[in-house]
Amino acid sequence: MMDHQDNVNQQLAIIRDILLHGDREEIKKIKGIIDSRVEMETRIQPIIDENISHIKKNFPEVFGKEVSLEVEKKILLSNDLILTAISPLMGKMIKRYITIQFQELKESIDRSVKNNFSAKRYYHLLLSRVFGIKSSEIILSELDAFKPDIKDIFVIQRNSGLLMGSYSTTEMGDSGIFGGMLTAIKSFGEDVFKNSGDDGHELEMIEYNSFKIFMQSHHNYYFAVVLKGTYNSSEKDKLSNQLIAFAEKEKKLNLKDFTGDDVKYISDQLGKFFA
Amino acid sequence: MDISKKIILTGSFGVGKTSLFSRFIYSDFDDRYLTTIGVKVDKKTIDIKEHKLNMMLWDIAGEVAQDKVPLSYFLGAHGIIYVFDLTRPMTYNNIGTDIEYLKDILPEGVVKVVGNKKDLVTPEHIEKVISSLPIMCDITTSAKTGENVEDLFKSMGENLV
Ligand SMILES: Nc1nc2c(ncn2[C@@H]2O[C@H](COP(=O)(O)OP(=O)(O)O)[C@@H](O)[C@H]2O)c(=O)[nH]1
Ligand SMILES: [Mg+2]
Repeated sequence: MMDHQDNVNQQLAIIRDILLHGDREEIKKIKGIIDSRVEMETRIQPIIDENISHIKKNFPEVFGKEVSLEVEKKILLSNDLILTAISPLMGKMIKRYITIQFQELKESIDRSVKNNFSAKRYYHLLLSRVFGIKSSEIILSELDAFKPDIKDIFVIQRNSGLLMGSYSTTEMGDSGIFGGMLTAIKSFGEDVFKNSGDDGHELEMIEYNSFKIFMQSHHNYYFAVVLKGTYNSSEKDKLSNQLIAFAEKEKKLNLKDFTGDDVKYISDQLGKFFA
Repeated sequence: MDISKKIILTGSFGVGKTSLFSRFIYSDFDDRYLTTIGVKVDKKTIDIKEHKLNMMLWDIAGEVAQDKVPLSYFLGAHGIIYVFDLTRPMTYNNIGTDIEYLKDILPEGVVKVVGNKKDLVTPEHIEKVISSLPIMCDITTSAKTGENVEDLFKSMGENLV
């Protein structure tokens, strides 16, 4: 019986071999592929690559939400860390920006040597924009640098119109009479506009051809500056600051009664300050 | 020592303020200012004792105590020369209130009350007018003859230094 069984088995094996021959070859081949890394890679890599390129192309859609949530969490947790990482880069960018700005500024200054004022103004603007330096601080630090074309400068007592001091580059006649007449004209002008609703308005500028008389009132006196050239409001501002600086320095200006010696002293100081 | 003072000439129209001013100061300043802005400023330096006094004279057109004249023309004045016309009562009818007003604005100011055009009237008339005033008349002058003009400014100067 055994022989018979063996015989059957043998026959079945032969049949199986015949029937499964093709599959066996296929399985052997597949086994070979799986066992060989090289074979495996050449086949799978294109698929992986395709997937990767798809992920790359559509990353925000596919993973964006998860990633951004994660990044957000990390940023919140490590704010300082990120700042320290980014700062050097920002620092470089800002430095570069400033370098470019200063280069442009330098060129602008070179271009406008003729017009000294506008370059200065640009410079101040830049300093205040880039560094946030208050313009008043800049103006104060630049007081010495600003040189308006002052022809004459007078300090005149407010109501009496008496001359308290003068510095003059022009021969313009008696400065005492000038001070008196100017005060009269100033009063007249202010009186005319007194009821115009423009309350507290004081005459600030008298223009005559290319000459201008800029006036600035202080408590007991006013400055009258004879200028040549044109001045915009920013330049007038600077001149005004220079006058304020002088006024703060010279306490004698507040004298109610003054003598010729005081006038001489104030005149000398005007010359030193504005010449 | 050099001293400067502001002195104003005021009083009614036509009393002789500008004439007194011109008598005292030879002025090459244009009178146009007087008609346009109602004031003309000029200077005369006189010696008083050891001092040089720069008298800054303001010739003011227009009546006292009227808003036609800017108040600031008066302000800061050290000396006030109030002129009236001896021949016209309407130039001294309000003298009391005018002087009061000026002293109110300028409490420290030295005031000189001046009767002008004395060349046109008799000494008796002068006496009569002066005694009728509510305040004292300091001096009578004639801008035409020049009588007492120098004295007026000199006495003002002495009071100011
Ligand atoms: N006779 C005479 N005439 C005078 C005298 N002072 C001024 N006048 C005349 O009076 C008029 C007015 O003088 P003015 O000085 O213009 O007066 P103001 O308006 O006070 O400045 C002018 O015609 C002068 O010539 C004076 O002392 N005597
Ligand atoms: Mg007159």
